[in-house]
Amino acid sequence: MLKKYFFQTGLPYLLFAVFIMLGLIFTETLLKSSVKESPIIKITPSSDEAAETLQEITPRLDASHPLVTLLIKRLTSNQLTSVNDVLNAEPFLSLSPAEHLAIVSSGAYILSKKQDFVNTINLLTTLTVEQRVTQDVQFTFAHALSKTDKTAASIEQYKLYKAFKPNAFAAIFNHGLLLKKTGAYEEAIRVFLDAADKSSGYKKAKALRSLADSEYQLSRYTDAINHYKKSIEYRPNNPNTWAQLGKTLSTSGAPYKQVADAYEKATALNQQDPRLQLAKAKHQLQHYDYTAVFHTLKATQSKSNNINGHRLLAWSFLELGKRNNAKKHIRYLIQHETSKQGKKKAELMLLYANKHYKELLSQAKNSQLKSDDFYYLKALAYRKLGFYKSSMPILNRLLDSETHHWRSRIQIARIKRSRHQYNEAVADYQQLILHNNAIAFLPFELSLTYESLAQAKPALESIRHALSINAANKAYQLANIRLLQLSGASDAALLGINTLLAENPTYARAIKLKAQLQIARNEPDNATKTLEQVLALQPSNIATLKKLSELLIDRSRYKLAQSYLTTLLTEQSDSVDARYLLAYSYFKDKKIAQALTELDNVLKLNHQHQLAKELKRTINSNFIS
Amino acid sequence: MPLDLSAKKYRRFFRPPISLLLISLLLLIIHIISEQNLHTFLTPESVYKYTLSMSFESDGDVTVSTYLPDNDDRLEILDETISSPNFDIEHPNNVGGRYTQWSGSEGNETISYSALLSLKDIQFELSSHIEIPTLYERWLTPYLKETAAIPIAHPEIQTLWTQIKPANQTNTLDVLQSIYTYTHQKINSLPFKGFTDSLTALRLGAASCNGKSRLFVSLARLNNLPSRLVGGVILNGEKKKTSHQWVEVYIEDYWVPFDPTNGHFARLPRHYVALYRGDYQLFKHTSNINFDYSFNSYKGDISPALYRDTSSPDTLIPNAAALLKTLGLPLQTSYIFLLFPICTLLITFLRNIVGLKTFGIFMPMLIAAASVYTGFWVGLIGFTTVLLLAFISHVILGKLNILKIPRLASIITITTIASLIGMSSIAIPQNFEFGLLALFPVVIISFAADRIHQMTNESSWPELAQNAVGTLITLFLCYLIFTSFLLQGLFALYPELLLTVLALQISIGSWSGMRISEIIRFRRLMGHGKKQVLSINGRNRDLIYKHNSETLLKLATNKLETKKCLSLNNVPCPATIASCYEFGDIAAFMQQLDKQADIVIKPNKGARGNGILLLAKKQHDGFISTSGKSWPSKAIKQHIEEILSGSFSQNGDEDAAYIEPMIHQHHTLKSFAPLGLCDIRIIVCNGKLLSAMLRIPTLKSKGKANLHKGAIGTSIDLKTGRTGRSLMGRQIIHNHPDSNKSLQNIQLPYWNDIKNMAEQCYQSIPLGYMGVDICIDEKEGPLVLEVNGRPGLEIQNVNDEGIHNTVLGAF
Repeated sequence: MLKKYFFQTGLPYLLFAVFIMLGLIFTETLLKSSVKESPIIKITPSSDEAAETLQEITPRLDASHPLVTLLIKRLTSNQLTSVNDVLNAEPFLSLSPAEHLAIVSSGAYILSKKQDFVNTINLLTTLTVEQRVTQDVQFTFAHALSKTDKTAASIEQYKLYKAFKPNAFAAIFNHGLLLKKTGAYEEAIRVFLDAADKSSGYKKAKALRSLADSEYQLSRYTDAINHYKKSIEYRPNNPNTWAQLGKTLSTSGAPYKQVADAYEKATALNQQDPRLQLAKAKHQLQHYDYTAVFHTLKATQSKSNNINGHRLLAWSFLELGKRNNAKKHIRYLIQHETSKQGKKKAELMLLYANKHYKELLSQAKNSQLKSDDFYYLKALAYRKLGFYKSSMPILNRLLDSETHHWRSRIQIARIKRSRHQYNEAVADYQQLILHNNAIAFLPFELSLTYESLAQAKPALESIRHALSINAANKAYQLANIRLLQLSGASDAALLGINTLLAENPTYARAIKLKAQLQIARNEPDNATKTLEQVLALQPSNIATLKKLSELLIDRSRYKLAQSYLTTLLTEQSDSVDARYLLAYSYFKDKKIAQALTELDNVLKLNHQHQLAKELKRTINSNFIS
Repeated sequence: MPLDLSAKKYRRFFRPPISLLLISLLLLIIHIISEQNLHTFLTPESVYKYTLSMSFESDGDVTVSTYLPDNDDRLEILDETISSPNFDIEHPNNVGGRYTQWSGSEGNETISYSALLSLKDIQFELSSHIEIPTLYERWLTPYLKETAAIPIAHPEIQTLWTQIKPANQTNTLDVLQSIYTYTHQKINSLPFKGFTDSLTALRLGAASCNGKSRLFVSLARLNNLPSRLVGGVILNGEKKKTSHQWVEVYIEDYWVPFDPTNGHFARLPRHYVALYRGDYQLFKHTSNINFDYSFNSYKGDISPALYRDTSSPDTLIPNAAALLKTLGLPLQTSYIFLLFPICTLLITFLRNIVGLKTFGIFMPMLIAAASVYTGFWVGLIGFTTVLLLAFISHVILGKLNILKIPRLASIITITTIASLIGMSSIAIPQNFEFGLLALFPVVIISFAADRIHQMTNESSWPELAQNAVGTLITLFLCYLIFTSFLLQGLFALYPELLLTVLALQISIGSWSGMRISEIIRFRRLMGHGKKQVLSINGRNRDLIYKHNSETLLKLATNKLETKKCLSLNNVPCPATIASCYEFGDIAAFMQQLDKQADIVIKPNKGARGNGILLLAKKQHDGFISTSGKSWPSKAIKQHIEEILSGSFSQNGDEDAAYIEPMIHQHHTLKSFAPLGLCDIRIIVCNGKLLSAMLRIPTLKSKGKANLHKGAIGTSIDLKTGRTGRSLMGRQIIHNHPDSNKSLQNIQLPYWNDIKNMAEQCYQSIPLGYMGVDICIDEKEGPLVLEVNGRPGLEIQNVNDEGIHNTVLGAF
């Protein structure tokens, strides 16, 4: 019977469907419950050493003591009652001095633990320093003063405390922090040195870190770097110390790699804090590691969407020439910049990204902007328009800017190259590479400069350096091949170009270079074929049409040459050279009338064309009687 | 030993469903191995549908502007639509947010904005060691400034601060806790609609969100904490006009949210949508335009696979949703498109395995798809309203004797007009959702209404109710499929699963077992020792598709052609007095009619006795029917026109009408069945007679011999022609309910002739599986009424015996 139901009806299928449905519902419920709330973003102070250290003690009497409870209750229940009123009333009035001391000190400590610093101070002010020291609440008193913004008084109390207990680390450290807060860095350094001497491990690391912070404020970068490094030895897992070390190294002019390593460590230790990533990216931008900026901010930017991140990305993409990517971030800046200046700067950046340099400069003239970014943008626009005289002074001024120094040096080197001041440009590029040798475009530009100086060997070395950083870059590969040819390594150049073309068969610039190589190697037939390949890709490329026609005329293939030249002249009818070549090919092809017509055309366009005149004379003397 | 692929044991693997399933699984495995992180996109994300409707009236130029949601770190716009015909849209730069301005000319206008938003909650934990900085970058200056509505230096604000300040005024957390505690706990929340500045909030000790937030900002700025107001909407799934304001404070490079009204400290729940940042107004518009607005929202879980970029460049199988996106399909449409096949699989399953009937096969799926846009209940109400309207129109137009095709056309027009009126007046103008009702497949609903109307004539109310319940269940399940984030994700990420769906659909199509509904229908035949029941799937797949050719089936539905065929083999059937194929022939047909009396007008391709007119006596103008109703010539002409237009045709095609003489029931049958005409159904299989029953009309069946309408089915012994047990509905009866005469052991006259006639029918129309309907005329004896190529299966219940094995054994 059951068999009948099971095998003859849709029941098993229904059961299967119900099973699948329940499975779906179960999985959906499971997946839904696995949806986590967004992680809590923990905000800590940018300098984690700013927090004062606390000193834990065991009060003489605990909070459950009835008199302590009563004291706290009376003090906190009615704000209008002064401490003296409370202490001068029963039952506190009839206490013995020892009991009074114990109750007041314990009450004050418990109140300080409850963050009621006003009552803590009020209670402890009724005691003398000696009494507070003996009762272990002098530290509590100093700390409460600092917490209520009475910094000077707090410093004084910490000093007094140190006189009684010269080895109390917490007091020494807090004393140092307060001195640092008030800008008394010299004194703070002395105190932190003392703290570092009297501590070990984690505490020593904190003291050294604060010591280095104070030294940084006084621009004693070498000392600061040494102390940051020492602090790291005792506490290697603190990302902020690493970041601070990176910042100090950068300010002191240390090589890029050293600074980058420090930031790398900081971000590796805390991948969640966008501030660290931003600091790293900022450093990368300042030291022209533009691609790295994108990689650094890729992850954090999606989470925090920080406006500074957008600024850094916009600049990096602009510097890399990726204008469309840059525009996305500039538009964000235009929308979200809150200050008029910020918005204006973003608008100017957009003009630059859109290559509206003149408009940018005209708007800049009327602008009140004064930031380094703005000046740099102006210098870039001048350079793009070829107004090097206007650009150079701005860039020279920016050499004093911490943020724009290196980027300005790159622009100066470029201008020098454009002005054919190759030797000076070479010196600049060498310094830039020395500072950061992990950037491929600098050795590439250096190799181009050397090429202009016809110094093939150093040019080759530079391009190899660029290729060692970015081997896949086609422009670098092409430059390498060109330089090999220049240096006479024709076979190596041909091998290189064939390898490049095997990987990129439609790379027109490479095919053209191959044709040039073949011409130089006196392989006109191969060169002809190669140029025909270029024409297959770019049918109206003027230079190729002309070169091919010349080759064909040399090989006495006049008809084909005439066909290419006709094509060329339809594209560029005023090309005198092409027209002369056509006349010459007609002449060689014994088409005298057509040759004469074309020669007349050439002379109409340029009546001083010597070759045309000579050819016409030859024709007139030989063929026209 | 070489693998013999032709071997029987391997052959099953090459059957389409199995091979499709194997290919699908293989692709799935390769896909899962090659892209192992894809499953992470199956975890749903909460997505909110946010709509804003603005309406106004004006007799001049109008400008309306507001802030729309913008992508930020906790909000992502997945899809958005702005509907503002006749208006120019501009997006002027605005520090506050995504400012949008519409401008246009006079008229009563509605502007609607709808967006699908992915939102995240955000929560901060503030360290207790963050000191308030003394200096900030220049760009933060606006957030520290005093304004008229946000005073800082005012003595009352200063006094307040001295009262509530914490012990350590330089600690960010302490300061913010004091401000928050005061604004959240000490300032009462009252639903003030208007603008409240900080001082008013302080003086009244009460404020709405904007007053509380301004006071918060005043106190924060007083303490050198850059802060700003944030305006937005709380999406809580209801239609409302209330926007909300909260605060953001700049702490260590983060803008940290605080909502003193609803009690959120350094956190913001997911359903908060920020629209602008700063002390701005959400709406600006030209004055005196009777401006009105409303927000609406609902929450759903959507698979991120539909909108997140899941594909790696060298992926073997791309994300299907991404492909659809490149075609410009909106998000919702793309997942509906992707899940259509699985819905069709569900419908196939429900119909062919469960046996659930619906109004229209795929109509519930289309309604469910439309409901995805409107929400289930709005969709259901909209569907029911349109259906009801269409049904009422059918009834009214039917009574007006409007022909079928023009009637359907009229109903589509009526529903369209009604939808337009509904959208402009009945539906609240601000409610953008109602606009989406236009997406309802009105045409399909109109056809469904026609089907319901037809069913009300043909079927019983329980049958209608069954169909209604079936439609609702199917609609609901389809809706669940469309809104299942798991299925959305699976089919977007692994489109190869569509092959599995195809394999399952083909498998269901190849299955000939009993539907679940048939277990109930034939439950008495399911007992131990009973013969196997022939199911609908089995009948269709194993008999009709295999043994009944399309040509013969077509012939069987054409009664006039059938009669011709039968006459050629001398099978007696009722004479044809006249026939009418064209509208132009109606006049001649009517003339023929005038000469007759005691006749029957029949549709040529009708079924279930529909469209048959029994005209007993002639009168002055027209006839009187057997039931006594007067039929004037005009009405008869209209009835013939209905027949010709296909109103009673089985497949809705154009039809022909013909006249037959009235058959007078044989006295033997009339003795116990006083009403209507009994007929004998004989099942003929491959020329062999397998089963027979007598169908006896009753008062309940209104004189028709249709079992599902309440006629009696009486079993007949094939050998003797004697009647056996009788069944009326599900009940066994012994006597006719109207005449109270016994129905048992009655010898049917002409039994051997009847059997011969049935066999001859097979000779004339050799359908492998057929039902022959024969009646017995008092004078003419047995006459073949029709040959049925798809005879029903109720004969098994009547004979208390399954015929599965007998039928299949006949071949």
